[in-house]
Amino acid sequence: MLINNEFNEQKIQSPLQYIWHIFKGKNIAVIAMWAIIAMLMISIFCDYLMPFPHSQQHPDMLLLPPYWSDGANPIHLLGTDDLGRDTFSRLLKGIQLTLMGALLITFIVSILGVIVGATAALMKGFKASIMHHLLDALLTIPTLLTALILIVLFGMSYENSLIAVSLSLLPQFIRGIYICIENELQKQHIIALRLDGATNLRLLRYGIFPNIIEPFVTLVNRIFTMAILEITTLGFLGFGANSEQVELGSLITKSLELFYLSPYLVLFPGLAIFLIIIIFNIFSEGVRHSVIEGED
Amino acid sequence: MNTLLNVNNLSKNYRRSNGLFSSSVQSAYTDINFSLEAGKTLSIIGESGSGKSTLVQTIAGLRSQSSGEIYLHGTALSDFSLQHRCKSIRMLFHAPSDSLNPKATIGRILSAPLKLNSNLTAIERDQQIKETLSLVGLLPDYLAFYPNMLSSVQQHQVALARAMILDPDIIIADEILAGLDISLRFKLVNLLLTIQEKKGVSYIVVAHNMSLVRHISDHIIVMHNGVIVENDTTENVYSSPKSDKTKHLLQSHQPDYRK
Amino acid sequence: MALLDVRNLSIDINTAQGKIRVIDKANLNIVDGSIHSLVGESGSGKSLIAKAVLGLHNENWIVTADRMFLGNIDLMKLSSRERRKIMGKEIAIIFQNPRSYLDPSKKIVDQMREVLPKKLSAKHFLKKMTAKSTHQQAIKELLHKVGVQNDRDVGNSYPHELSEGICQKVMIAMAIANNPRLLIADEPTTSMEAVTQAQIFRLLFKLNQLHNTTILLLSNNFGSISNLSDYISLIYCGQTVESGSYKQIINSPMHPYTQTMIKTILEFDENIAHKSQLYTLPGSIPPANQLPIGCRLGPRCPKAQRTCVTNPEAVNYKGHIIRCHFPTLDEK
Repeated sequence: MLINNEFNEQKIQSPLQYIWHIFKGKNIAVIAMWAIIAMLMISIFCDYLMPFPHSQQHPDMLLLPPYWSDGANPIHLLGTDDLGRDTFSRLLKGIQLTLMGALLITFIVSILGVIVGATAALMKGFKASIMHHLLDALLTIPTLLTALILIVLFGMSYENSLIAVSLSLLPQFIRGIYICIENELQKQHIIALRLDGATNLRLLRYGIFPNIIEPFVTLVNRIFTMAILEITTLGFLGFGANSEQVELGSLITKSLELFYLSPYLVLFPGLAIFLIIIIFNIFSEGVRHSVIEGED
Repeated sequence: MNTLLNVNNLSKNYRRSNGLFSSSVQSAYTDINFSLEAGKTLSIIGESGSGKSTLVQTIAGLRSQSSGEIYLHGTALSDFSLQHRCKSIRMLFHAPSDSLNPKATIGRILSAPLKLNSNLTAIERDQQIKETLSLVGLLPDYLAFYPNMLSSVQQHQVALARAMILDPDIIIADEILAGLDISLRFKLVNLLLTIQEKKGVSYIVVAHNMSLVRHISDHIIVMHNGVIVENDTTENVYSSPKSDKTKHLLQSHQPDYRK
Repeated sequence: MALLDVRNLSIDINTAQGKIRVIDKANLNIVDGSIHSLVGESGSGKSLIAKAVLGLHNENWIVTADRMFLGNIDLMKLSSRERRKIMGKEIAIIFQNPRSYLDPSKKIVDQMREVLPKKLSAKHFLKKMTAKSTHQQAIKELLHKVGVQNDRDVGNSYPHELSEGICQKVMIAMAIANNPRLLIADEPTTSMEAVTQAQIFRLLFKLNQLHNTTILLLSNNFGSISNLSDYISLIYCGQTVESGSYKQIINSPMHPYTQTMIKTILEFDENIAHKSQLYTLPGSIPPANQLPIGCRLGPRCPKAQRTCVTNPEAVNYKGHIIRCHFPTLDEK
């Protein structure tokens, strides 16, 4: 981006504006972004969008197939389960629980992780060394196992599964951020800022954070994907939501026995999980590539 | 002339581990003694590995010495607060594309030292920034630009503005001429000389190019393997070098092949 | 006898802003057995000329020239396969930052073995057993030729263990392994210290004197190569502005750009006061999409007048070629 006449006419874009400009040109990522917004809207307003309350049973319409098959009742768009509960409503509620849960986890882990990681990276000397080795040790335990252990300790419920998953993903994020910030601290412009007399907070806000957007996006994406997978796995194993709470993983479990009678009951929640993960990843990749291209 | 800077018996050692249980002590530089007067330029030359970069980084405050003391205006630097030290001694780095924050505008880069080290109001800060920009030869329009939009000479100018904005006594230039073509080097040297005349700032320059070193310095220090092998005025060093290393350096700069 | 004769070479590149003429009617005439320096600042296009001669240019470059002859061979008429054969045998090239041009995962001996002449590499199984020692011998000789004394240590090292100076010497050894007629050195010593620079230049000088290798030296520093070269050509923004023998250029420079370049050699000028302002041309090098029309030095030239918006023709004064509307002519 060398100086030429164009800059006298064009407005100079800040890095964020430039990244947004590049992102808008990536069609698939923009589609993914709209899909995410749609899913968020569904999650927030699912109670109003549901045709029937998700736990309402219709004893006269059991195991109906989706509306495009024979013998279907169009009122129940995607059919019903063995207790006559509307699959579509349960799917919407499941998306709400899973998606919002994962977003909440990602949010908490990101905030806490950045605080702890930044503090650790700015520490020097012996304490920092201990912290570093501790984090490495935590990393060796598989996150799902950690979540399982924690949920057995806390007791099985949907809220507890969220807490357990957050705690299991926290070390990963902390370590990722810690390494990023450490790398950035070695750079010359940080040294120059230090020589200007910058406090650590100023160093972080202006010097480090604007420059680690790309690794940050990658980390957040990874945490979100793992969060979705762990919530649904815990639900599937029966450690998370119970039969009242309709989370996508537990939806699948309950429907497994009915697989031969009505495979759709397993298909739709599974498809929903798959789509959430794929769409989010496409979006993150788009953002990440925009950031990289924005840095030339 | 009052001596501005006095370096006494400065040494830096660091431990290097050789294997599991033993470690040896290596020295970056030993027993460094020199002084610098106001408004003068001191050049430090030597092969790579001679310790000159480590030495100037210690003076700038990036590293600490193992023993010895640096005196500025008669007071030991270790007695200075970080703020005071930052204001008196500023540093220019080798590659300005690395030393300027790529995500900050020039305006923010220049206002940061002022916000952190002085009590000026926003209007006074703006004034100071504009004055410093014109001192280094840049228009105020550049305040909204980002560093990667500037050419390498302009980046050096911004780095120089960042150094000069606190009105320091000493500026340390760590091999700033190396990455530039000759004509650009001349431009930068001209700028440094102009600023020295106008503001009376002293320079400590680490450089390679012997002919430019001769032109800009009053005093030259030659280092080899961490010790000073020659410490004299420019004229004396060029007309009658005492050390073999100096002679070797001078010779390799203008070798005579046949003509 | 001209080894390389390039006349009116022009290179156009298609960019987002349109077609840019990056090299504008450049001339280059290299005498066999001489050291010819092509001096220009970064971005002046010297590397582009070298690449065009070697045929290493991108597909979307449009290369036109009146003549491009290597000895008797017309380079413009060759196919890319023939071009590559010529490159391997007749022309060799070394670059800046030698360490990045060596394979970091192989030892030096292995890399040098790849460039040894074909007749030394044995196809027959029995011959392969004795081939190793012939290889070793050839590599040892090459390394000694370039001034590397401890060939065994250097040969067994990886590139990251060696200093830049030694890496450059290894590159030169690999370049001369096939006895090329022309050695192109593209800024071989930029970013090296003065002592190492002197070593490399001394080596190139020796190669030229002892083995009669013609050397085309591309450089951005007039002072460091002036003493070394037999002939000097200067290039600014893709236009060759002046060219001639060392004596002609140094004693009677005609072009304002040459005069500025000579002024960068501070030792020549006794009138420069200590700590005075140094002579530079006003302004800065124009970016590629804002090249001036006609003579590209025009906006910065102290002698510029209205005629300078037209491209000056090259005039030859007994081998001293100049392209300028207002050259400083000595009384001859």
